[in-house]
Amino acid sequence: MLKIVGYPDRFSVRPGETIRFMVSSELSAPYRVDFVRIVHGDVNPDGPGFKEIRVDGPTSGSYPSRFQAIHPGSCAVVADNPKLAGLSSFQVQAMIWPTLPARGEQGLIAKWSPDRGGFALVIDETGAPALRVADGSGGVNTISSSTPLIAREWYRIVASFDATTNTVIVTQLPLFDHPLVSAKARVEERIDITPQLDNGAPMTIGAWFERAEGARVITAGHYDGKIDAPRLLRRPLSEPETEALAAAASHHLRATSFASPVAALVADIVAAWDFSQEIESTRVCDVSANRLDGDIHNLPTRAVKGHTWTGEEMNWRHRPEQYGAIHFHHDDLYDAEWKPDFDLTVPTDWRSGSYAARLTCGEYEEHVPFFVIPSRGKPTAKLAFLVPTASYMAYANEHLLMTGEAAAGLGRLAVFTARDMYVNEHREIGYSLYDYHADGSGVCYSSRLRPIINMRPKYQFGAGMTGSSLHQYNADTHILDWLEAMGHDYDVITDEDLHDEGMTLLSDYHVVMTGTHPEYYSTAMLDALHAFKHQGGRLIYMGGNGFYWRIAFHRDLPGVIEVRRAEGGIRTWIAEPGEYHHSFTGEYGGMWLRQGRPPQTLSGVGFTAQGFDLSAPYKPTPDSQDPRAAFIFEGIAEGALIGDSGLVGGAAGGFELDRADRRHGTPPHALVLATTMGGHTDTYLVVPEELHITAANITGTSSPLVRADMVFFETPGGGAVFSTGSIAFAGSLSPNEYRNNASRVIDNVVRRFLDKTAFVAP
Amino acid sequence: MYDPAQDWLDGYEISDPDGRLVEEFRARPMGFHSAELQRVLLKMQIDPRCPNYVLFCRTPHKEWLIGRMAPRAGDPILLEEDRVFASVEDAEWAVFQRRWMLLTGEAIA
Ligand SMILES: [Fe+2]
Repeated sequence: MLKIVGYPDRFSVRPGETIRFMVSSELSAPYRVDFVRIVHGDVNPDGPGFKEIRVDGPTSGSYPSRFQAIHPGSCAVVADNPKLAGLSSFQVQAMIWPTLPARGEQGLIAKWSPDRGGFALVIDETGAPALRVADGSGGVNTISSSTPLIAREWYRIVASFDATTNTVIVTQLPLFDHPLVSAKARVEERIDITPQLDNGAPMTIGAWFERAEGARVITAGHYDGKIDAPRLLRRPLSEPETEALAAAASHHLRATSFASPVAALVADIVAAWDFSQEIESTRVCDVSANRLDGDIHNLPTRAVKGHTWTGEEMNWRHRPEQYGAIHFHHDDLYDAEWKPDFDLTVPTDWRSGSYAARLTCGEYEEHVPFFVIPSRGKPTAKLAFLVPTASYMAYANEHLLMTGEAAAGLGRLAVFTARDMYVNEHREIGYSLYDYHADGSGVCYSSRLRPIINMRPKYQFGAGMTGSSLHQYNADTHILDWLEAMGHDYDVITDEDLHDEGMTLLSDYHVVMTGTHPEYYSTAMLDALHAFKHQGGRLIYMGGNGFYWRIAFHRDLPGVIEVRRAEGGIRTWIAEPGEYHHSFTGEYGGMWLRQGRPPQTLSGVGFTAQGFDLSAPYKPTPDSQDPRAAFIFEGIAEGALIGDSGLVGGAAGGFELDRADRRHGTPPHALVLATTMGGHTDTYLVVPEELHITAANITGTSSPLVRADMVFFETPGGGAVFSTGSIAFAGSLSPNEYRNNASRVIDNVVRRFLDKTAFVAP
Repeated sequence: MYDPAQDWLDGYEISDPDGRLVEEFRARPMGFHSAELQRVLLKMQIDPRCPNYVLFCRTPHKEWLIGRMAPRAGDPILLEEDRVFASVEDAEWAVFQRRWMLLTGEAIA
């Protein structure tokens, strides 16, 4: 099992810039840090073998081991304030939609200090709402409604304390009353202590305060579910007043709102948080005159339907007031917030490439990858390898195969390694965009500010085909190794750079080469690649299932992406109705295919089928004889199968497959040079977005849609595109000392694409 | 609410009087399979009588163990450390034998 893990504060760094590394070690001995350039991460003895090159780094050396904890769980935190601390009587209320009420104690809204008293509206051990109050000198009372909440139903929960009578009232009112189900409750109890709200603790929503570590707030008791319209008052309201307040909209809660139905109550409102405001930010806004705004921690899900959603509007931007809920999860994680252990100012003589900080201690070893990109505006090669870091983030710490459902789809047994054991047992490291939260909701955010256990050299993926069993980061080292073995100079650039800098990043390159699975694209990334191809650039798409999902980056937070699995596609979870728009940007989420920009419009091919056992070689088609393609087949025997050996499934066409399709936007002049059609096993299945009516002929031996197409076409401005349409292809580059026809095809393409001579469209 | 899927067992019973399907799997655990063998494998993957088997690769490209996912998410994978396989194919065959036993009551060797 892993004993040392870490992450960097960025994935890409330029010469002269500084990157910081955060490490947690369970060992007592110091660990050694070396910097290495990663050339080939595949340990398969049938291939070229593991290759890393140690490079001199100014901060190589020995560092003390220290354990750093991760505190998952999202919440909102509002700093302490005299308006809060000065309360004696109070009423707290919210609409809630709990998702795991029976999981154990969870904090809904609290101003709580473990040793200095306060209050916490919680879901108790029995799954019922309860108000816990404490006087700060040992006296604690918990008053429960004693009526367990039903998961995934909206409730209004109100709890109050009246200091004049020392009475607590807790009520729960389901928004929808199901026959035969008793979900309503009201309890009233006199208590013998006085809650102490002047406790130095912040107000928390979705958790309670545990302790402060410097400026950092550590919370506990994290809640699973939605909270909408939490409000705090300085006195208990009567039932009609509570009713009126619950019905009042945000704009009614200001003292200046003349027409407010709750005008008489406005002065008693201490805070009224409206989560529909500033959804793209990290803020939670108090619409009361006190402006007790707060911040979200660990990225709970925003832009989710609130209790007032009518079903008439699907876009939160159009009716934000219907999206006033935040969905909190006890297993949300944005930033592990570890303290840095060492840093590196990248020496100016380091070449651009894929690097890692290698941490070793006895038998234990960990690589923390990063990428050195060239200085701004100073490429050092004509070819850029575009590292699909957004897709690495999407898959970060994926747990999908650990569920029976996904494993059944493999057609064989999932194969785990010690790293997967770690991912399985250390749930605190957070989830991938393929996973479900414990409460069954889909994980729509993934960050790189945490250890990513499966994005490492040497890592083998449990569903990564027979042979090397690679995927993403480690599979892409097949391409890096091939570039080096063939003597092609290259720079590396990453998705985040492309998102931030757009076409400016690409303009000096003749060729952009992708990784094996560049699946996740923001609008800016896709726009940049389209611009590149239309301005004479040459694109080599070395993968399958690329340019598939739209993602969004956060406006304020670095290193995090969002997906909304809307409408169609291979979806391990499905976005809820009305929640197809990104919270980060408001953009409509889902597949680019469903947004009028199918992958075929960029690469000529788009996702069509997937399977996880064996790969198939490509058969040349009549298009391969076209003189326009002569340069691609130079040196290749006529009619020969292409890529009939390989480390990923034993051939070049496999894993996830893309096909050309005029209807999806493959340019009409594109040449479909070769195809794997007819070569796939029945574990390969057509993707669901192509199934309009369910039918049985969707397998490798029964559907013509199960195939990878190799495609070439010229673009305006003298550019061109070449696509393999297969994740497995890169595994076929190295057999026979890189002297094989798959390698030759790519080499022919690279050489011609590097040549500035314009391609002339037919 | 009662979930009928918990009791799901399809009406299909595995039978292989001449041992053809067993032989086919043994010869090629992964790859092209006859329609009849595919049906057997699908049943094995989702029949509730079969545990959620996985493989664990202890030494890359050298040693594999059979494991089962624990019922509760996050609990350690239950490994059978006493039996080490030299290939994925051998381990697949061993799991096939067990599932066959669970579903038919017959031992195959
Ligand atoms: Fe993917």
